[in-house]
Amino acid sequence: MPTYSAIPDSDVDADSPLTPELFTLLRDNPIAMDKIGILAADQTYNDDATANDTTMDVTVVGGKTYHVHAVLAVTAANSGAGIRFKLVTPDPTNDVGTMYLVEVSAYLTPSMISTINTDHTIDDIETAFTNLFTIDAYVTLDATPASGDIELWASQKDAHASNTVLLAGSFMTAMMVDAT
Amino acid sequence: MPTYSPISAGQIDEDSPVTTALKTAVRDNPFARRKVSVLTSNQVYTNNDTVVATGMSVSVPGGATYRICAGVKAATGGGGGAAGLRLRVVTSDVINDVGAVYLYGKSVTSLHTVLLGTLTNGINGDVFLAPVENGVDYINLIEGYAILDATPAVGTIALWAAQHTHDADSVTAYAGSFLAVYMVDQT
Repeated sequence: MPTYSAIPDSDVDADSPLTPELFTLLRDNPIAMDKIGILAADQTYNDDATANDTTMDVTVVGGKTYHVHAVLAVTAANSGAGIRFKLVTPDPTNDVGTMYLVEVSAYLTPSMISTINTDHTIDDIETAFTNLFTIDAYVTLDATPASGDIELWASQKDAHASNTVLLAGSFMTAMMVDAT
Repeated sequence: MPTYSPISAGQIDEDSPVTTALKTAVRDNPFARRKVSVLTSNQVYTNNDTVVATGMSVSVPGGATYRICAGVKAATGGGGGAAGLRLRVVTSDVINDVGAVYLYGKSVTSLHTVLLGTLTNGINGDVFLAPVENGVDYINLIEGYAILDATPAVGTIALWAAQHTHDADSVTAYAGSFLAVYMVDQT
């Protein structure tokens, strides 16, 4: 799959040659600017700890800003179970951003806003139906590392030892945007 | 930083020169078609009359269609009332630009699902999320689209806000709120 590579000004001035390498980047970069990670199989969480399981990830380049969007389907085996989410970036110290989460289903689970690289804890996942969550975040990555992953981590927030399941079909996208 | 530059048919015909401007536009346009603006400091609203600029604004070419996404965290000032948030997606040509905006807002204790506007010219009009609980955070996820008139050639899409209140409580929109727009093909 294409990887985004910056094209320096010296490669696009009037006298620079139209090389196959330049045309390849002009062709591929618009595709490589947008990434999607898809949950291929159900993930079951039963660890009442920090969000520590990588659920979905996309490979991105440093020094850029991304709009991250995800839709998640979650079930709980028994009442009282919850789930934790964490949006993890390549450099948790220097990357900045904010994450929003809204539950689409009718149950009165709190919505969330927090910084990236921080656990979001959602209590009492409704057991009667599949719960849908939408996540929107923007993330501005430090220039170092030059390439890395934006990952969505999850674990169980458990009040009654119930498993929490993130269902297949969930996905996340990271779209490179201009933050200037 | 990259600015979107339309490329005419004449610039890419068989005989046209491959100029720096052409190559730069081909390189930068895909990036320049999507913009994000982030609120960098908390904004406090006590004006229950008119929405005001929030600091979230992006510069975009006219004559194009945009998908709009935004997230706004807000809280009321406390007390016993039920203040709310007033939002407006503002474009450069309020007469001729058209679009619609949906908002899903939710607090920590109850659910608010508010339809901001579905009619033509749903943009550039005030929409409300009210009442909300005092002293608790609530968030708004906004989805919509705007079709900009060709004039002006370069305009703005902005998210403005104000207090919508049943009492004297203020409303605060928090740093970290964001507005993202994507140029899309409507055809």
